[in-house]
Amino acid sequence: MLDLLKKSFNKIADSVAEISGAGITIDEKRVDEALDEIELDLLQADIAVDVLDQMREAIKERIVGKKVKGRKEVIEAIKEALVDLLIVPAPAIVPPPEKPYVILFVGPNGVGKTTTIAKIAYLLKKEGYSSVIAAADTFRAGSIEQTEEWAKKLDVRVVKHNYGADPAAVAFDAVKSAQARGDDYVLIDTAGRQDTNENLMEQLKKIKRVVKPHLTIYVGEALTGNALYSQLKTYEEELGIDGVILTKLDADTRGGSAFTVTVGIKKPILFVGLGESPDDLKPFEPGELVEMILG
Amino acid sequence: MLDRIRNAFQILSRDADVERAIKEVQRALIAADVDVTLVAQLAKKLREAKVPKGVPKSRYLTKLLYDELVEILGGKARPFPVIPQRIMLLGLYGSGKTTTAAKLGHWLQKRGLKVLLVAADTHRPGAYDQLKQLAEKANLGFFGIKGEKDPVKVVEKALKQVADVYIVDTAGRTTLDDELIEEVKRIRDVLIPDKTLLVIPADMGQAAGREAKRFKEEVGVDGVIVTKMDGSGKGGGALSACAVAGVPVYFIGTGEHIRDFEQFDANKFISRILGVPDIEKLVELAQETEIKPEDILEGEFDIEKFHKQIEATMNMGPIDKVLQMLGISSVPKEMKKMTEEKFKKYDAIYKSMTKYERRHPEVLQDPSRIRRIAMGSGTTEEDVREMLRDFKKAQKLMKKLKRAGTRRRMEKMLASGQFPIMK
Repeated sequence: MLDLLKKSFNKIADSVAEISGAGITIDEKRVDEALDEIELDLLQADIAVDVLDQMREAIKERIVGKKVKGRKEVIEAIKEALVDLLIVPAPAIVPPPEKPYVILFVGPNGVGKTTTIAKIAYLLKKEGYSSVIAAADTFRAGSIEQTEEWAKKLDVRVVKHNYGADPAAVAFDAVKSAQARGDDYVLIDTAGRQDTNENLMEQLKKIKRVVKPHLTIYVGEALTGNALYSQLKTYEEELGIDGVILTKLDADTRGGSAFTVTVGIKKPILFVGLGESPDDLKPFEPGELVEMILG
Repeated sequence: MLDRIRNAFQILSRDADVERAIKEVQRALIAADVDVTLVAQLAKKLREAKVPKGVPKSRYLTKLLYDELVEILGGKARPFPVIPQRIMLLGLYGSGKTTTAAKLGHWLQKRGLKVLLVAADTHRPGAYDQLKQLAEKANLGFFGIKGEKDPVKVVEKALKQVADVYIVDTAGRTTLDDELIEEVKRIRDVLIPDKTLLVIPADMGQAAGREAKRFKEEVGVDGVIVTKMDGSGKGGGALSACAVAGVPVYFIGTGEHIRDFEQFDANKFISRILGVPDIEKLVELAQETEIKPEDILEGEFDIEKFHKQIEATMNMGPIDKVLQMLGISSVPKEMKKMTEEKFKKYDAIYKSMTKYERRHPEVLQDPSRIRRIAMGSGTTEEDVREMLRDFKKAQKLMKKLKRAGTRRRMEKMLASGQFPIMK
């Protein structure tokens, strides 16, 4: 799935190493030329146009001037640079002494928020923590039933109201309920919304004001193209997000979206979704992704 | 993206600077997720174009660019047949299949057909309830078997129900895997669909083309519906995917609500980008909201008519969309929000007026009437006076429009903040 990026970066290594020869310092002009050559490939891998320039600069900054002996070392240098680009320090997600720890999940329609929340609840359960899911997507038809079906499967509690109810009230009730019962985490599911819909963005701000979550997580999918950048930017500017979960990385994607998150808006990728079962939510390992790209 | 494409056209038509125009178009299209190989082809065609003798270069290239864009973004419009038929909807997780099933059902039902939505997504938790709730809301027929795991059984039983159109919602997956192919084929063999439609979200990147191709090859696809066109995604990935796979785009989804759904026409799509008015769409919408333009345009313009005008605008959907159809492409954010809030307030004020007041606005100079209306509508006296001021402006404008209403003039008014009810 990531072979395209792999080829591109191999191209850089080839041209830089070939021209530089053994024991030579990587020079800027050559890296620039090589980057020009692979620009279309990078775009084809869904690296957003607006992010690409930042990425070029960042790669150059990290490898120009390095002394290398041959092609292998150029590859190593690029690898290091890419891993470096993917690392953004993530906040610790541990319940504070005064429970519960509240996590708000936001993002566009259809990216897999509800499923992701179920996976997180499962993960927490495995670690010995209890959680409550707030079914605060009171807009999309069937969303409450979807949450309930998951919760039944995982034996996790759900706090819900009717459709059309104020999502902030649902979230608030879930927090109160968790406080009363001593649950460790509250996971708030919200209706998917396009970042261009101002009224719905206002609604999210209200939820955030009312429950004051410890963490706001943007759930986005790896299949998204250039829009991911503007989506993330709007969510960050309007609402503020602490981290991103990238779903559907097992789909037919070329991985460029990861760079949009870490380079474009400089937020950590907390988890990645790699499949349908509750086990398939994995912590994001930059090294692994780059290893997959460059092999 | 829109600005860049407009720019490119300007560069071409003004000084026929091909390289600069190509650069703008390339970046715009790639940023809109249009398939990179198609973008490269377009650039090549523009560069190698042979301008016929006697035709100005700028005009020839502008036309060429326009035609090529239409081709890349979906090609010639293909109207969707309004006939009894069996439709199967396909798509990956989260593409919006279920919502689309209801929107398509609503669209066909509005045109006189009896529609049955069939819940054959037995895979995703909550899918049955989602479709059922949507069907109830839109007053559409629904068939599903809660707890049934085999979609084929659901479809078999559904076909025994009486309906003109069967719309079958199928399960998605993260990717088109063997399991999904198998499932879709089994449903297809029982349903024997007249149309198999693939649902693709507008924000999907370069994977869109690959997916469309695979769906077409593995299970056969007759057309595409692009969803979430109201978001940041410009639909370039999805639309160009259809060009790659050689299937038409029938509809686009443009919002959260059931009527946010329209037939797609690449020509109009690009015209809208370029700021050419889409009169047909306006008329179509006006018909759906059941308000006749002549109701507003004919006779004396009083507060009743002013209210109808507001009502029609509200019913047609967000103000920016309506203005887009008028060919006015950029509406300031604040104006949009303000307008919608204002309309709601004006509606309340209107409802607190007597019939006589609505038809004889001149009596509304009386402060005691204004006080009464403000109290009745839960607004302030200033709000009422503001509405009256806006009414007077609209009245003036309607007089002007009756004489010579051109879009250019409206745009000018909008830009200078003179447009009625939307300063």
